[in-house]
Amino acid sequence: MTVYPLLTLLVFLPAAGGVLTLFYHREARQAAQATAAVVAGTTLLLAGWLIAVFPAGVAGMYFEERLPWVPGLGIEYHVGVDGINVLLVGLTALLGFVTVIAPWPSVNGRAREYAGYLLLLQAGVTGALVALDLVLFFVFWEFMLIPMYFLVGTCGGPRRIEAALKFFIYTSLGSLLMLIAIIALYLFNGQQTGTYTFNVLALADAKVPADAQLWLFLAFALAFAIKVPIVPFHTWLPDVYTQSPVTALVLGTMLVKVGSYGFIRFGLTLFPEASHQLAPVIAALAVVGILYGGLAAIGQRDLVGVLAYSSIAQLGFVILGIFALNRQSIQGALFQMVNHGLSAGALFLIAALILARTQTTSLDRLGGLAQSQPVLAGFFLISMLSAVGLPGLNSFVGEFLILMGAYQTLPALAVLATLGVVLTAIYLLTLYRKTMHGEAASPDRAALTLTLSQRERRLDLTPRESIALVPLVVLFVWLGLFPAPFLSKMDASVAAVVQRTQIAQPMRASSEVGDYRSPSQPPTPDPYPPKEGGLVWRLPR
Amino acid sequence: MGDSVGLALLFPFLGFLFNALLSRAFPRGLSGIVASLAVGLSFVVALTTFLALSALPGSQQFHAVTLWTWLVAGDLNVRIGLLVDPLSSLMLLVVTGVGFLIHVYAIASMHGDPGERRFFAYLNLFVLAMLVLVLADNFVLLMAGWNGVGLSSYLLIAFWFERDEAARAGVKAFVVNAIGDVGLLLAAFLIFVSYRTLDYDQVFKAAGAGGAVLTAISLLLLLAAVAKSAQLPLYVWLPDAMAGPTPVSALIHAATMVTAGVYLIARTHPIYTQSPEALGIVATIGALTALFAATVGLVKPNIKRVLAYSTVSQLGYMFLGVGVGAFGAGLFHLTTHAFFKALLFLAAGGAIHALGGEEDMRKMGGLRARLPLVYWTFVVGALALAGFPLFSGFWSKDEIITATFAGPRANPTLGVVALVTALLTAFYIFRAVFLTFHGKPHHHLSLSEHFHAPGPVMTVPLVILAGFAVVAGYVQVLGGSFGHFLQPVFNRYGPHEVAVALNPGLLAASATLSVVGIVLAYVVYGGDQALARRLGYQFAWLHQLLLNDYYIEDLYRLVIVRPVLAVAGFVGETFDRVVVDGAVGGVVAMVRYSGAALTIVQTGNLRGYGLGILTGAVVILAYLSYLGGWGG
Amino acid sequence: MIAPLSYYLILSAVLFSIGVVGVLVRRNPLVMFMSIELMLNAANLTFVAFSRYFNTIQGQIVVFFILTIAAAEVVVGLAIIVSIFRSKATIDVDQVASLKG
Repeated sequence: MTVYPLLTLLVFLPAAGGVLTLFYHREARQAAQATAAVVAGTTLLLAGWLIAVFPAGVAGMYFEERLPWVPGLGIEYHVGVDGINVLLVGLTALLGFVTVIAPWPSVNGRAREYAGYLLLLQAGVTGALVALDLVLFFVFWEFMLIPMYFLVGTCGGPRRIEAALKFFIYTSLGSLLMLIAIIALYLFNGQQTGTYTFNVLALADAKVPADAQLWLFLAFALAFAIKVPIVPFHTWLPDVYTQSPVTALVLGTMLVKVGSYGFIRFGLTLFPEASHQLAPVIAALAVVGILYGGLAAIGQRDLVGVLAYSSIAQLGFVILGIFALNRQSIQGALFQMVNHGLSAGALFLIAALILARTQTTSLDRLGGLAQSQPVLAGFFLISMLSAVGLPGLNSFVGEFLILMGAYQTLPALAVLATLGVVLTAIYLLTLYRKTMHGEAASPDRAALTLTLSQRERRLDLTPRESIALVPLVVLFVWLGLFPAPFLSKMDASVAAVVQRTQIAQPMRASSEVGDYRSPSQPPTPDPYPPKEGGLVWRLPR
Repeated sequence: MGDSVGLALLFPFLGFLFNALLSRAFPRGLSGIVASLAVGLSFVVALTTFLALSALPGSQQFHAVTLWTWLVAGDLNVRIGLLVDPLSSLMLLVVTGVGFLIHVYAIASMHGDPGERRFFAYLNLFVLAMLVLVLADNFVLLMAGWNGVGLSSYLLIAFWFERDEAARAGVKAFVVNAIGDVGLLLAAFLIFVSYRTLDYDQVFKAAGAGGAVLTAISLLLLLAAVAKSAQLPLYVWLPDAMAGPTPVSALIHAATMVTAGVYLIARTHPIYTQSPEALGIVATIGALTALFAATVGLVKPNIKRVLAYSTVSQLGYMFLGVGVGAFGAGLFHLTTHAFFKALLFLAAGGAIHALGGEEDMRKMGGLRARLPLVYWTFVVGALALAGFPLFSGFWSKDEIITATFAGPRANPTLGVVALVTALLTAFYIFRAVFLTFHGKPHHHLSLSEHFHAPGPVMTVPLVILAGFAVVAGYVQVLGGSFGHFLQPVFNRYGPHEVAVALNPGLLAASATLSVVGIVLAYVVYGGDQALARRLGYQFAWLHQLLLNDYYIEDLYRLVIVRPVLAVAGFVGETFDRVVVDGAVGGVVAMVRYSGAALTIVQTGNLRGYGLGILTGAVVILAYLSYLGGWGG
Repeated sequence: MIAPLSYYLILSAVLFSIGVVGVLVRRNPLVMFMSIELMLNAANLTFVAFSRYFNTIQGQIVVFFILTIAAAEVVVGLAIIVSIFRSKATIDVDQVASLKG
């Protein structure tokens, strides 16, 4: 069977494309954008192929590549996909494509930088998602910050530098603690087993005593909690998001899912006992986030502000699902990460389009846009309904599974979170009403209409804007009506993770935590130990 | 035979797709025709299904059709599965039949509206969602239809979105329904945790025992039903829903949407019958809502609002019916109500249309001469609603009242409430008849050239519906076939439905009350309305109380809406910025201030830096030598 | 007679100190460069001395590296100095304080 270094391509193709794009001449805007679009499109095709061939119903790593990097310290270049990250890799490629090709009046002058940094960011995010070596993961994790910093700094609003700095300081603070925890775990495992390695799959079997686990887990959790973000570590988010819809789009779609992914891949897998112990606390924080974010979103008077707090609430559902620790909820959480990427992506993109047309995102000044922009209104409507969790569209599947799973382990929190669904309906429908419905009556609005007509009456979406939105909408419906093939790709891997956390706490009766009678495989030992100096590429059997 | 039922879903779906995506390429008039055709074809499917089903013996009347697997996670497995049984095929018939007539009517009444294509797309979506709701064979798919109906109602109520009032009413409908959806979600969770399945059949088979859990599930389902069917205390969205076009009101009130709550309770009767407490609450809510809405309907000046409150009231009857265990009677009333309420709305729509959109009855009057057909059909609907003897509403309403007095779960107190409501119903609907069609014309359009007399596309559906409003009752009375047809459903999981023979005494009583109500209405409103004014003056406080719905909305605004908004504003603006960000933001501030402090050292003097390096090196060396670490 | 190791080390230390003082007290960057060269060569001397003393070759190899790097460094440094002189018309290091925070 032919072997392909597919994951390496997915990481380094955008990276190379990004560097190339940055080297274009400042005036060669079109060429830079075209290059970036081609690179992102190719990556998307590769990622689509990855998802298509990824088999359902099996746990374990596929497309694994393993090369010694710093052999003296046991650091490897080790990447692979399983049911947990495969969809997220695909999502990253899709959103990379969408954000690259969507035209940005607000970044017109810096199209080259925008496209270049975006591709670099995509490379970093993909790398962090597929890395199976903690050092490699950390390198990508930190690397993501650099293009992000420049993106916020170039594409933001008036307070962009401040926001970028705040973002940078917050996230690096978390990262430092995580680095210390990584090293501690490495040393601990080394002393215990004699083999010093950063391999996640091997470290998962390290028997770390419960109290040490707790501290190590907390260090990881802080890094992830800031990135997700979980209330009360969320305050960078509104500041950065409200700089401009563009930064919000990029952050909200590309970056945040890495944090929640980290909770599953590293938090639950490496520290099952600590996860189990802290699960109710973190789940409670998540529910606070759902309600807090929902209420704060109702109180916002700015389009992007509502969407920013709505992100906090939506991600609360994801975290609740992860820490409800059962198969339905974690599958739902993974699915919801994809959904949030898609629907938040669409909504922020639409916010950017609205800003480009009206020069404002203030809800007091917007209104009645559905009259002049019916197609945009249609896209807004279906994206909003996706975020609300309407059955038949994608988010319902994720939310339903999360709440259903959470109800089995943390019923009180699940009931509270279900109330969050009402808040979601309130703030999103109100948002839609205030932007799209109503009439253009106030003097402010009249002025807006005037600028609209002066701007050559750009009546509705351009073809390129539609091309960016259509794949998202298609996926809303597709994932909403036919989620089973995607869910079955995750099933076995999730079952393995859940089983780890359950073994960690055998005293919980199975009836209490849901049904685990259906067979779930234990994590399979690695049948291919790394060859010295050789590549191991594996295709699905 | 069951397999073809999927087509009933396919046609409205295709109609929706056509109108949503393709219709811009075609003349605008086509969208209404395509939409009507889609629903009409669905009706044909429904009719063949119904006929095929009734030819079968009772035990074979259950067909499950699985289209595809929807959700799989752990031991949860949800299919897109349809259940064809007498109950769902009856609902199918009502939804597509009445829906089709409303579609046809809408072709005329929406003609020329700039959003015509959008309107018919939404209308088909509405029918599709309702069909999914009634055909689902598990709770998750039910939820899909349930929320889909809520969505379409939002879209249609807010159809004229440039009117702020319509946009707000749409949001209100959706949000109130979302509260009910929470009940449905939680009920589904509880069911899954208890029975590890969400399929109707398996749940109902397992629901034989359960006690408190079943009561909890029933009450959560009731929350959903109350929100969807606009019962107390969540009725508030329905009167505002009048902001949409008239065919929408007809569709919401008659064929789809609000009947879903009654359907849900009937569908889940194996759960409800295990919990007498829950059924008792259903009956009480129903009776109270019936009375409450009927009293409010007495004074409303807007004709569509009167009809809206009458819907709330009639749904109360249906709740009362299923609440006393007479599921067949509840559904019977649902069916007859679908006919006469659609008729009333469409006829009222004819009057409104004729007067260029005027909905205030005080400004109408005297339309009888100009709109004879509309008048007579409206009167037929009113007689059916009032329970006038021999009209359809008479039979179905009396079956409910009989069951309330004499059924196995009889509750005479509620029965008295139901009788009083019957009197009020006859009064308020004939108040509407007299104000709208009798007396002197008050509207400037009444006699002018611009009077839009409805054409045949509008009147033919009216006549058909009027016919059904008269005869629908006899299906049950003469052959008893209605209850007989549904019998297999309600006795499948045990003998849950007990037939109660109509009681001549009760029939006479309710017939008398109905006639008395009509006569009273004539006395007060038939003439120059001096009496009406005097009564309004004498009982001003009562009039105000009723006009304002007993101030329930104001109470909600005071107790729920305002506090939530205030908290939201506080959280979003003040708390998050100052408190949370202040606490966490201290880190950033610290970094910034320490950075500022350190800039003093940055003199830019190269030799100063060199000296610094040297000093540092010397200090480190000195420290190392102090440790004695030179390899010794 | 072969001079003992300590002679070389003392000479190297003296050269290094002269270099340090030169960097610190002179204001002409050219002279500062010469002083840096002096410090580098003091280090070179130490390397060679130890290399001879331990009879190994590594120390002498490192010296070649240092020589190369020093050459490259001077090239870059001189280029910077020329460019500063062009823009500021002076090369007095006390006048050039753009690193001030």
